[in-house]
Amino acid sequence: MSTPDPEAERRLVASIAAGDRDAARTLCEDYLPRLRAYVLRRSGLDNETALETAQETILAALRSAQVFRGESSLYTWLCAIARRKVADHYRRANRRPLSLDGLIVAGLTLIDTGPLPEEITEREEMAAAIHSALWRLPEDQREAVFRKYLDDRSVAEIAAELGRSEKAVESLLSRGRANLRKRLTGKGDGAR
Amino acid sequence: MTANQWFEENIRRVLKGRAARVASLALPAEALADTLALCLGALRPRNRWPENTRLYVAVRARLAEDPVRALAGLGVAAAVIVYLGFGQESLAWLGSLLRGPG
Repeated sequence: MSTPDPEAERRLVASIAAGDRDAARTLCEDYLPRLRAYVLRRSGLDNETALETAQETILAALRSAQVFRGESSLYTWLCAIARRKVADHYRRANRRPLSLDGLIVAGLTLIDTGPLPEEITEREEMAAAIHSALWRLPEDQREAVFRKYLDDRSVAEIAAELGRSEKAVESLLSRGRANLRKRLTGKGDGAR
Repeated sequence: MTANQWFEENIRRVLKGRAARVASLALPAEALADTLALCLGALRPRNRWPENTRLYVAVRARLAEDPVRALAGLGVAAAVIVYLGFGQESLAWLGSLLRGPG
């Protein structure tokens, strides 16, 4: 992926704000596939819901194009909108968490051995339950957890990306793990 | 392996496992066209003059991007049109209006 040109991105979004259809087409073509892949990778949503979320993100960006200031890249801005949409989805879904013991035992068993068909379903359910718990965490904790365990970022890298100190990121990760455990065992909902 | 490390390892495996499973899912063929139709429907109605003109869109885009420069450009364009349409006297007359009495 080439480095984004901030000036070109500001021009594109300004054209969208002015109602330019060609600019809207460019936004869809360039960002729909990436946003859908981002949502699929970072959530437990099914293929169809992930696509709908990516579409809603593009529509929300069209409607709020005039507030884009170009302080981050366009993709970063779109991803932030997508994360809010996914979090809204999980808040509405109100899924009941599975038991932590069951998840951990199932996790090791299923991932370390070749899966049978029914195990694939269980594995999907387990991933869905963990995502459901993760997406109910406060956003800063959730982002720290995703960057550490999914994106393999070091604490120093996460600190640079989130604009926090390394100590603050370690604290976020610690609280994120603790809250995730509570939510997976059904022992906590409003933890900070 | 401690209980914490076990927990962390499981979270890592579940997240990465899920990401690997969905990485190869292709975008449905009609998805882009459907999204584009939604987007065009969501744009402001643009079937009225002057909103359906390229000039209007270009001016709005420039105004949103850099209002001072866009207004300066519009001012210069207006002065050129007045000069070409009505001659040098019209500019002198406009200048006298701006200078005020005395």
